[in-house]
Amino acid sequence: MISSQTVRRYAKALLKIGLEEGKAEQYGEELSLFNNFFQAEEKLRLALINPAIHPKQRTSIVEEIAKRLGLSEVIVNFLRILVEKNRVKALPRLLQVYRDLLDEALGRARAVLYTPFDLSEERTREITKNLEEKVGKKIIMCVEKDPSLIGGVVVKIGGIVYDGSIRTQLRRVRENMLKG
Amino acid sequence: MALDFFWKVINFGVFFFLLYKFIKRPLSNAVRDRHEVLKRTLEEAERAKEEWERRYREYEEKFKKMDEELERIKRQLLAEGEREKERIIKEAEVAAERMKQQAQMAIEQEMKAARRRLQEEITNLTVQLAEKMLVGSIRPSDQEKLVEEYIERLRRMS
Repeated sequence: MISSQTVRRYAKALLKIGLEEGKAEQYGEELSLFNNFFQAEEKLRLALINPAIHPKQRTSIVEEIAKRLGLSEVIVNFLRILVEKNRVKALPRLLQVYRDLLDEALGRARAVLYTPFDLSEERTREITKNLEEKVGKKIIMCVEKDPSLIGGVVVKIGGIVYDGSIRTQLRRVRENMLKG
Repeated sequence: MALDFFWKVINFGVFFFLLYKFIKRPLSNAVRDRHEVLKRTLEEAERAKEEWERRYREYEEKFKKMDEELERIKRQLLAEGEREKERIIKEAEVAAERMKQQAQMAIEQEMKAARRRLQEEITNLTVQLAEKMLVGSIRPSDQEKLVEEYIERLRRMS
């Protein structure tokens, strides 16, 4: 198990290079692309984390995939180091930490907007704008459908929840009835 | 005849003299010793009698005291028995009262729990019913209103 500190250290190092080169966003996307491939292809994943396979063979696999995916040299080197140090298993966690650090560095936050019905672009923008004013950060909003809300919307930003759903109102009604 | 008698008298006199001469002292000593022995015996008997009388009086006194002691112990035991009886009765009363209170509390708690369960059940049923009614009845226009209210709340918060 690779420690959170180590994962953070790797993510920070990559972010530093990315910010210096002005390609932090691009590196994040490339890392995400490789991670999707890494998660989807079980054989590839098993081969890259298998210490019985020589590191040179494993790095050559990474190089081959990177070439096909069109990844930049920095990312290829980064992945090569992860494979050589047997830390490629932590790639999904590393990507998450990288995104969080990048968002923090760029002064933005990721949010998920849950709604039981389709929501117009305009309404989504309106909600996003108001939340941006509230948290003082740019928000990258992701909309997800959740029929269990019955009505209204819920937005989650990190650990904060802005709940305007009927489901929660019914829960409150239930709690009040039980208290009373 | 007279001479014969004379010699008999002389003989007796000599015999008596010799007897007196040789037996008087031992006899006297024996009598005195005997007298002494008897005297000592009598004295010892007297002392023994006095001792026994003293002891008798002592025992009599002790028995008298023992009777008094027995009477005192009897009274004490009776008093203690009475106190013990009162204590047991008191304890039993306290225990009974406590049991009564515990039973009362248990009943109250049970009632409270039953009321709470019933209230929970009614509440759950009410909320479930409301939820069922709402699930089918919320229209896009209602959702639109809810979103508007949500945005308004966000505006007020910021």
